[in-house]
Amino acid sequence: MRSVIEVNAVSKLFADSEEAPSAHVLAIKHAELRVSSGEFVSLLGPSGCGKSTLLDIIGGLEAPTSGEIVIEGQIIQRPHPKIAMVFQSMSLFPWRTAIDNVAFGLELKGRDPETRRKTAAAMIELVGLKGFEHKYPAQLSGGMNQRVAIARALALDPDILLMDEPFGALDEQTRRIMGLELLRIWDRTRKTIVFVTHSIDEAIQLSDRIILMSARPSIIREEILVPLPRPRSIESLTTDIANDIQRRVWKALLEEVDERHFDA
Amino acid sequence: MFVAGARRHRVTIQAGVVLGVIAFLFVASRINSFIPSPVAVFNAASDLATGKELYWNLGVTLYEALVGLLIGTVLGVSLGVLAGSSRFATEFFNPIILALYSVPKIVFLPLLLMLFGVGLAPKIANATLHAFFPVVLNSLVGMREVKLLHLKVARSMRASPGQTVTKVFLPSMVLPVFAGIRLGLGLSVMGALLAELFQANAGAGYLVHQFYSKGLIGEMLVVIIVMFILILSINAGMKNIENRLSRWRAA
Repeated sequence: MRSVIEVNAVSKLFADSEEAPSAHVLAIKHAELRVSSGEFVSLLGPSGCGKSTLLDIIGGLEAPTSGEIVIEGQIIQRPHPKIAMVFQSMSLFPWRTAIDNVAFGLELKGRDPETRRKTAAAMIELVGLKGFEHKYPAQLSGGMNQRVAIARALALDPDILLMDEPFGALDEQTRRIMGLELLRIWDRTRKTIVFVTHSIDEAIQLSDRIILMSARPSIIREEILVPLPRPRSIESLTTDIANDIQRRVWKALLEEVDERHFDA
Repeated sequence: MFVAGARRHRVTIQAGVVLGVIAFLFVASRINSFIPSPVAVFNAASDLATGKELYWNLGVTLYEALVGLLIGTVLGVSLGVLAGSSRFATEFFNPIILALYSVPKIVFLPLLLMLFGVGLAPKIANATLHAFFPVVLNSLVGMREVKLLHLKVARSMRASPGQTVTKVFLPSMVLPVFAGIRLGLGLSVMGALLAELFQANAGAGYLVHQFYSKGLIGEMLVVIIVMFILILSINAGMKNIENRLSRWRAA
């Protein structure tokens, strides 16, 4: 299948600090990744492993120190119009109601008010928030806020959705429910999704493929296919296939700890 | 229930203070003949209420204060946005603004009189100067309070620099800037009054000075009290607008 996202030999160096600009930290080392159209890929790794940085680079928000990102056959220098991003939490504009948050991107594009209202209302309905259009983010729960954030990204009708730990700030139950909701939305919209998470279960529940990343040096360590049938349910996680994948992920993580001689 | 109780409590105390002041005037007027009795103040008030003098001069002062506030707000927000736009700009402007802020603005009045001559202009200029500082400082704070994540969202959706200012920076700044304007209002009235006391031929400050030099202390007190009530009610109105602007905060 055709790759819609190509990550070609991407490395990223960060200046260590303002006081010592010559000391650099290697945030990402030589990352290679292909994502096919309609695929759901998770970037899984511990905090600080550079997975969010890699997502920002794919989103055109950060420039790679070396290497390139190719989106739909075109090398990107800045955010690509066919990509939308969803962030962890508190990314909604608190002074805008749910529907006005969803319409934000359409406003930037200069769409007329009627189109904006219709599209935003449809997106609100898609994420299951009908009736909450005129609530402010402070009046909605954390899970509802993330539904609005997803609707805001979908309103631009992107081909690719980049999600940076979108359910990371939610409690376990809400996180599971949101995962299933996301699968339902994905099923209806057929976007390509790159999903950053540090939760093994979440990665297994959602993805076609898990990209295991390790910290310092931050490299793509292993790719694990998730051949669980779709549509998935809560029970999918308790099947033998899921248990097997879980074991493989843990093994890879523990090997890394061994290699580092428990210096963590 | 608690809120209603606290409110009733507060109103009782405020009414007590007003009665206390009246009682004080009553006693003090018996001891010192320069101090007018509450009855004399009331008579002066009803005299002034029927004439045009009080309204006209209060109108002049309010006009100066509001125009000064308007100019001070435009200048303050503009400079605040400029000063907050980059680290360099903040480090450059911040010490200058803070140094000027701590200087009593009245020292610039002779300069303003020299520059703007007589009439409304120097009084408006003084009101502007007073209103400017809280607005510029709060705008600067507002610029710094913009969430990086909000800017990231705008950037990921390919917002232009202009859209980023109007749809992210300015809405984030509304509440701190408005708080600055509310502070600026009181100060711009003060600026107008100070200029009128110094050198003027119209305005509430001028009227206070006139009554004082004629020994009409009761009339003078009336002007002060009316001015006080006016500022209180404008402030309450502003508070009302502020609550409406921040309704998204209510959970």
